[in-house]
Amino acid sequence: MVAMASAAIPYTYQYLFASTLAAGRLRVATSGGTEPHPYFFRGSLLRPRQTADLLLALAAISRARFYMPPNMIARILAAADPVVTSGGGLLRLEAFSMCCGAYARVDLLPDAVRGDFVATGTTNVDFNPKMRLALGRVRDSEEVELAVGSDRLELTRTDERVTEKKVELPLRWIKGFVEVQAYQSRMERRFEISGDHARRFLRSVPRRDGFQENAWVVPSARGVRISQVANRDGVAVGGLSRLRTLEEPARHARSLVAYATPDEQISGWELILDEARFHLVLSPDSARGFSGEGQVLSALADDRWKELLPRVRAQLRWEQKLDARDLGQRLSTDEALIRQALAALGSRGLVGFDLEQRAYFHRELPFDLDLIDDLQPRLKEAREIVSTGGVRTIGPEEAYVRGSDVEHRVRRKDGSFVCTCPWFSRNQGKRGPCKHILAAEIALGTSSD
Amino acid sequence: MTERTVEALDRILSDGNPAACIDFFREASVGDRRKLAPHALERWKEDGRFKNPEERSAFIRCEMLKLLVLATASLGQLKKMSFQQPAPKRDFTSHGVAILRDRQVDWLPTWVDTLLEEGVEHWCFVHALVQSGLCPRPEQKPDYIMQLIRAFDQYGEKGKRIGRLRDRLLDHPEVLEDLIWSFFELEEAGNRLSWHDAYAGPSGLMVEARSGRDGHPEHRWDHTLVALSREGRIPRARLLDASLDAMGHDTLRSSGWYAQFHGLLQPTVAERVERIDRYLRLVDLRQASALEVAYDALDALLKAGKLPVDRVAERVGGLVPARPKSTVKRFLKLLDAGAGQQPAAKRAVARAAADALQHESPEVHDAAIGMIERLGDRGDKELARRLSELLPLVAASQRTRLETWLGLRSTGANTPVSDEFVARAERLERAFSELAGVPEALAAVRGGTPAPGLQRLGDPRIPRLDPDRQVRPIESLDELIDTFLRVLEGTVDLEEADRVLDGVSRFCAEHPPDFGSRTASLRKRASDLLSQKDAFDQMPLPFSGRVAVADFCALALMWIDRADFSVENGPVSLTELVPTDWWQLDFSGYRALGRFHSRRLFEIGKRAREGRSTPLLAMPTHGGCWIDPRACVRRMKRHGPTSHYDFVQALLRLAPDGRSDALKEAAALDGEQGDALRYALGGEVEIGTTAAYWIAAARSRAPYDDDPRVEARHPGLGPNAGLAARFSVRVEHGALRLERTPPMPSRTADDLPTVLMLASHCDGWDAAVWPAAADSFFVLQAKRLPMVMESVGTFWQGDWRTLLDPDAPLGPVSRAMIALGMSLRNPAIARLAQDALIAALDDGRLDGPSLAEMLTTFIAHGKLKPARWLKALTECARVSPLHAQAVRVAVDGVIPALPADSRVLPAALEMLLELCIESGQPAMACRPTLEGPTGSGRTARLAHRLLAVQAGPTAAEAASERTLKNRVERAERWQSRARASAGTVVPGGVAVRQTGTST
Repeated sequence: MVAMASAAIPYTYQYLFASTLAAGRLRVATSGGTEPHPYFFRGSLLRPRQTADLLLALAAISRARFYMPPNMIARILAAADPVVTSGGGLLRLEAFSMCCGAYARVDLLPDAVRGDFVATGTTNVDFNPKMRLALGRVRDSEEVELAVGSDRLELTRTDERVTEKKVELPLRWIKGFVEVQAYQSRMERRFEISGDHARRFLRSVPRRDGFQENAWVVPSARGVRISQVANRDGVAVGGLSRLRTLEEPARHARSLVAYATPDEQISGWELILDEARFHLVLSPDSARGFSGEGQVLSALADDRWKELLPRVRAQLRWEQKLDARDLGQRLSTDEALIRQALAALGSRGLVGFDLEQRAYFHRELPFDLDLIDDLQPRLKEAREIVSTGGVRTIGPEEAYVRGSDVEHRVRRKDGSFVCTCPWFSRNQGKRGPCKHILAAEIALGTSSD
Repeated sequence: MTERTVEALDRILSDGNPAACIDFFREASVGDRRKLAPHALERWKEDGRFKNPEERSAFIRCEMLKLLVLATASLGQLKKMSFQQPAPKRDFTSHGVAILRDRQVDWLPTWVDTLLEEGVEHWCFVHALVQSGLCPRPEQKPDYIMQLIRAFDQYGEKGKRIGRLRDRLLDHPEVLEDLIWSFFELEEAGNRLSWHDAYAGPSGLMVEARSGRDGHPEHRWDHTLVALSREGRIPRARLLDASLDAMGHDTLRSSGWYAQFHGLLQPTVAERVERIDRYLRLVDLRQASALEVAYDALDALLKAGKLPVDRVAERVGGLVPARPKSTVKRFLKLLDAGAGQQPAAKRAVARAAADALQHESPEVHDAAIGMIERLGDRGDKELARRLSELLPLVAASQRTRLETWLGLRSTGANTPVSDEFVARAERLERAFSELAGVPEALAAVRGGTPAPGLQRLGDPRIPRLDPDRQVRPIESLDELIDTFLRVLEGTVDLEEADRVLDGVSRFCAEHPPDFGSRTASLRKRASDLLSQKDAFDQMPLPFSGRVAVADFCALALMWIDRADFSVENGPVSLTELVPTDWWQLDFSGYRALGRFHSRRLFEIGKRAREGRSTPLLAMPTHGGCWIDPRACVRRMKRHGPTSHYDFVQALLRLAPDGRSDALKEAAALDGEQGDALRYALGGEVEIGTTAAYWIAAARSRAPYDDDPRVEARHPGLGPNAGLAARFSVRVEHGALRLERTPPMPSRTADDLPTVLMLASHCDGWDAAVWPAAADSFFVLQAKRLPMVMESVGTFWQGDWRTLLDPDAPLGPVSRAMIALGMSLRNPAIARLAQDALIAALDDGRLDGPSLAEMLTTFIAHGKLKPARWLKALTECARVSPLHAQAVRVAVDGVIPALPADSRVLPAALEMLLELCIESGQPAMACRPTLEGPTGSGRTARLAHRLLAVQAGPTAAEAASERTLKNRVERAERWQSRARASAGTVVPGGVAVRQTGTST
């Protein structure tokens, strides 16, 4: 059996050319998605310096390892490239850190660019070192053209070579990338501070995290301050130093909005700029990635979303705001069920979540995600327990599930299942259901009730 | 045809002729090689270890063995062996390449990666393979380039470097033309080059670099590359660009080598003009060396009159909030001079100066506003809008200047007094209003006088039972199991552990038919934890007073399995679970609060083993582990006397609320426990014989006062026995002296927790033992803080919860905790101390003078860092006008205690200046100190400015209003607690059915 923790999918980014920024022309190479090399946009940047800073911050997240397990130092993986989604007059660029604990997205609003949206879709984009270096030299006063993808005819006139980058994409990276959407949909807004206060605050964030560095960012008379004491108006942040990645894009920010999940596990940070948004979503701790959080496991264990999924998916048209009510009316289905289906689609990389709009948007991650639900180790083990007769049901709401040398008791309590295994006792559902609960849910047929 | 046998192989080996070896294997089949591989490897194992090149015959044999292995072994076999590179005396490389060329294997790229991972000694061989075209250049990993940096070092006798780097580079033109450029692209190359060049002395010894002898130019990469560029062998323009680009890479961790290298190239003005975009990119970077390169270039251009001032201003504006003040000031000065040269750029420079106001330093504000005054155009609406936005962030000492420039009239520090809290104050019950100090705060608000100072807590009339934090007893066996499991995983609140103890005590007789299945997970987990060794390879010792979780595990087994334990001389009878002889250890001399916990849990466990169910008297009724005294009395009336440790624990948790009512109800209680309970509640009884009961009762009755009657009956049992512990904190000879009186006795019984908590470590669950402990709880934590002063990664953080309790008094030890905590390097603990300080100032448990006294006490401590204090105090002063006022008074009071040559004195003076101007109050306590400094230094300038501060519109009203708000809220909180306590049925009557279920 493959050790899931180290499982990875070989993936090749194949770009028709290397992304470049030269002579005021930013050409971003694309790879994969709806086409092998889609061509999304042709136009110019209206705030070149600001956009360059946002793209650099995004690229930094895609290469970031905020936590390095000791046995990983010798085999650092090549970084995964960001993805871009074109649709609804917006360009959204997303990146996920290599440690799987930080997600970033840049939304270039209509006023950030001027030009033609040639096509819609999602694709990988090449952010090579030379392009990043050139981005660092961009000035607001210069004209910068932007092309996401390239016209085939144009390419034939050049002698550029195909550039390939082979990486091993860890499964936990792909799972985390999709799981972070489920978290965002549960987040609530906590506070907003001005750009000036945000810049001061970000400068006060420590560069390195010590042991047990979980802290709270709490509103204060003058902006915000960092505290070690829980505060209902504040936001809990694990691995505080990760907030430093906001420092550069915050130069242009009008304000900073903080979000958190009700259980104070995950924090979301949104920089509001005049023509763009920069989102950063952080896992509970530097050492904890999103992939282990199991927020979508119950949804995946349930088969009902599979029935609704093709119908909902058929309705997706690269909208930037998916209205559950409207979708429900179109499909003559309950709005709540549509929300579940959207969450399930999020878990398959087919929709993202926009914190500001409180709505999903259509985008399809350019990876093969068919295996995602089968590659969830907890879910896989749960199904194995069920298939090998490891679940002894006592009634409609109680079961004994085989564990290591002992049977754990799973029973419904206050509307959700609880288990007597150590993992559940430690996490109390904050990291999703344990495999015993999943097995019981499958056996009892009550997933996502 | 060549016969490829083992014997033939041995002959080649003994001949020692590499050419013969190459011929022998030419056109050999895969099968032949595979057949000979075991023999070659066997020979290698016998004799293939690295030999001293001086022992020629052995060395040649070793070389030949390597060739044989190379010619025969598979990739897997090669990876398993350490393939040491031969010394460069012999040309193994070319022979090895020839052997591999004949083999035509496809695994060379993989093996090359392995070789590079093994070390630098393989680089020449790998490079030869790449040059021969046998394998592509290893692109995926940086090792190939990183090892090149060291691979050209050659050592002769006694480890001395031989040859010159320059000559070796000229011998390898492919390196000069191609590979060296990778030095400027790889993330780690700068660090490696820097390290190499620092130790590039003749012998390459570290001691040379340490003694200040920098590497020899002949062996240094930077000098060599610069020299070769002067000779025209490397394009100079490309080197200039590459070194600047290397510093500009966002992946770069260290730019020091590149900065130095760029400096060695000595770029001309023309070259700098050509590269202005690259230099401006460096302005964005954090690395000081990169910023230095940028500044030097811009300064050179300024002097040459070729600085593009407007472009620099655009760039510098963005960098200011995130750079040290000295850097920002230098760049502002540069721009200021630039604006002098190019008046057209004044507008851009003024806007850059405006951006500088985002910086926190008043010195930066001073410089920036000076530039705005000189260069700013009042008609520039964008500039005026930006300055108005930034005005609240500007230092108080500079704000008036900016307001004047903007044409705004100063609003002063006055803020309207809210009527809301005045009205709420008037609606309060008089008793609580007075208890919370509301009348004084109200008078201050109405009279516009400074906020009233320190508020003394610890009054027994202060209600502690929070109706919103009632503790609910466990209601079912399932809930008990779930909670017990959470306790074992350490994911519970303070009260949860006691809920479990009470649950076990009540449900121990309940054994339904499926009891075994329901408790199986808990039993398994408890057994597993008990058999796990700790970091010191020690088994957890249940009931030894050392590991609380081990006690709980053992309790679970005593309940579920009826397992047998004892604590007479340490735990016994668990040999089947813990097969060691630890039970023979004698723990009777070990003094710690954990001993009390262990005894108490063992007591419960014994009862659970026997199936005697009864609720615990010590089960908390409210958050903070308080027990409503009326509930305690009712429990005793219903269930009679309780066990020894349970009773002691219950007494210590009695809240001050409703004691008189409880005392009346307790009149009918008999026995020594009844007497002790009445005594704890304030009754007058004769002191009994069981010391533990009466000491606990005395500490409960008046936690911070001596009890002469108890002391007379049970004398000399130590601090917090009959006599209350008293603490003094001082610094002597630079070290902390934390003394307690009366002195600790030589031995302490396990049933005296109030004394034990002063004996050994005390945090975590220990806070649940005596909620009124206050200073006593922190004594050992405060002593520990100096030990972890400079530790960043300490696992221990202490327990600060009690310090955040707004109703807990703040004694000298608690203050020491805050003062020491603020000095810690560990940011998490330092922030906890800062949070405690903010809370204490808000609650009136500390005020300016007491904070000054606290800090002055510790200023002489050798290890404390006043700079860290200033950082925390700055943060604290931003919270509210009340905090700013307290911090101002504190800093004013501390400055005279700072040594005249203290490095933090200027920072302290600057902070005080801002606070004085902000509050409209001149410095008082430190005036004599301010008159001391003379001259034109920073300290003297700040001192003179401080002396010049006049009383003005003050922020006292805002501070008073905050005080009023806090006190009104406190009085309302106490009032609502008292009302809830009087008007509700206290959840004390937990009855036990025959099965043990609560009702």
